[in-house]
Amino acid sequence: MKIKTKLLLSNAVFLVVTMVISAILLVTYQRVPIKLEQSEQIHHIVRELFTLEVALKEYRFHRLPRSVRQWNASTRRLEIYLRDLETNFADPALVRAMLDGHDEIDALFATLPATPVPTPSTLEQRVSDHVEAKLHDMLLWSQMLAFDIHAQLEEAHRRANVLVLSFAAGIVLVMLGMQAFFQRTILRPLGTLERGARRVGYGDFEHPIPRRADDEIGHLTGVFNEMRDNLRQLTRAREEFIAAAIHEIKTPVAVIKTSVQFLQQFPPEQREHRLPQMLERLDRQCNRLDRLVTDVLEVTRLDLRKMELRRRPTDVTALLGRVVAEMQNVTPRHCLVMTHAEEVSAEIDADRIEQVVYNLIDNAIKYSPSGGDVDVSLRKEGDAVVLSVKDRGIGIPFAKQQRIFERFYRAHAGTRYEHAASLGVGLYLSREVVRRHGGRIWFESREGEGATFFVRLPLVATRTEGGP
Amino acid sequence: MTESRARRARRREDDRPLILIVDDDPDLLDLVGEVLVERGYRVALSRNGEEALDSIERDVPDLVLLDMRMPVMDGWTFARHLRERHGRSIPIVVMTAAEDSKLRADEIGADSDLGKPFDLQQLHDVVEDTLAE
Repeated sequence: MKIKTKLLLSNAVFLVVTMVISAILLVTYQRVPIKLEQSEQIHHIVRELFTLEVALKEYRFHRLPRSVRQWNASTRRLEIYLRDLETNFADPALVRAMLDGHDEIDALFATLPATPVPTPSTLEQRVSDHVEAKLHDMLLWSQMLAFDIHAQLEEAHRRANVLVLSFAAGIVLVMLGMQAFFQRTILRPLGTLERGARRVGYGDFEHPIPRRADDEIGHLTGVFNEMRDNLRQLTRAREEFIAAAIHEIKTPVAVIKTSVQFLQQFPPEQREHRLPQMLERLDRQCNRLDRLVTDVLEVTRLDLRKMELRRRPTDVTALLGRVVAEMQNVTPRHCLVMTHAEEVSAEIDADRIEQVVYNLIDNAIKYSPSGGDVDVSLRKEGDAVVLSVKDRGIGIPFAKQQRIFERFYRAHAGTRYEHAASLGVGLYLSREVVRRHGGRIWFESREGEGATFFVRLPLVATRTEGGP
Repeated sequence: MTESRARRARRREDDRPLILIVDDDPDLLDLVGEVLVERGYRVALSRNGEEALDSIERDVPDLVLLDMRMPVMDGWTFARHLRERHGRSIPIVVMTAAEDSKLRADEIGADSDLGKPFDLQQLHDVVEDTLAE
């Protein structure tokens, strides 16, 4: 599940829980004002009952004529209050009893003479006794109602308190649950990722970071593992490059050392006839050493993005001729054939382009083990010069053609054409040099049918070139 | 074994030991050859394992100086073929620029090793010692 989904889900859960608890709380609290209102009404009812009692007493003992009016006014108000109470659902049985009682005493009171006579009759005595008793009953009932409502109010308060507390507890629980949920599904995988990234930082490229989930963090872990893979490959390639460079440097050193020691064995007069061949050999191996060191240096420079060209007008034809002549000395089995239509001069970094040409011819020789012609050609094409080196060797397998310009990539590694003398940087450096000249390098090749490499360089340097 | 040595000796024009040098670098190959010829040995030069196997078919050497990393056929493959055809009768000296030339030598059961770059004296000592064994 995506973290986004998880966040949405947890927010939804939180929202629902809050809403449910709030609703319960709201319903519970809504009952409280109703109870309070009822309690106030009972207060009124009790007052009216007392007023009725006073009116009854004034009728009975003081024989006051206004007491009948008082009674009538009060009894109407009482009925209204009772009906109100009935609609507000106070204990319905009690309210019903009180309404009945009210009707009864009202009816009884109505039977009394409208103006009190000076001496009450026995019937009147009995009726008013009955009314008084009933009034007392009603007072008692209203008291009971008051108690009941009071109890209900208390109950509502108690419930509300419990609800508020459980609301708080519920929120805390939901928060804890969410915390645990995120701890498990986000923070822990993040921790794993962090530890893994730290391991990679310390140079351990062997252990992939475990991928726990298929969410954003899982995706990030995948990206990290990809990075780790690339780093591992690059580190391994670099280690191999360094090992190969050291190996490569040792061979010319061995030739130089042995040559010098060999010559030292002889007295000067006996050295004479050996010198030309020896010096030629030494020169070749020194050049080779120089090129190797330059290669290593250039790779480092490219890594540091410090390669700068020194472009001067250069006779490209002469440059090509020099390299071809030098390379012809190294190989007895190949015939290097140079063709050019005209003398071409261009603004190039002569040392670096020489290195490019050297790399291309060196590859042509290395990868045509059974010998044959190597054609080196030069021609002008508009405002550019195009060099090409064509061999009749083993060619480049189609599957490897995509990668041959990659740094440290050795297309023939692990095959019978693997060369100890390959550092895996020649074509990479060549491409970088040509690109910085604003030129292009490409090739045409079929496995088993040789390869032709082309380099196109502009004759004149423009200002925009030279950057990486 | 004695018989084959005797036959080998008879076939030769002279009794100078034959040393087969296998290295893909032509300069080093020529130079080591020159050095050993000067020292009084006969030499055969091969640029890779395949050429070396052909050379052995023509003339069985008394010692092989073998580079390990070569195109076409490397030192490991060559050593395996050599052991299959001739057992351990032809001693091998591994001549390599690898850091651990001893280990390379052990890998193919070579008799000795020579790390590049070597001193001339080292070369002579190793060749003499191995031939003497």
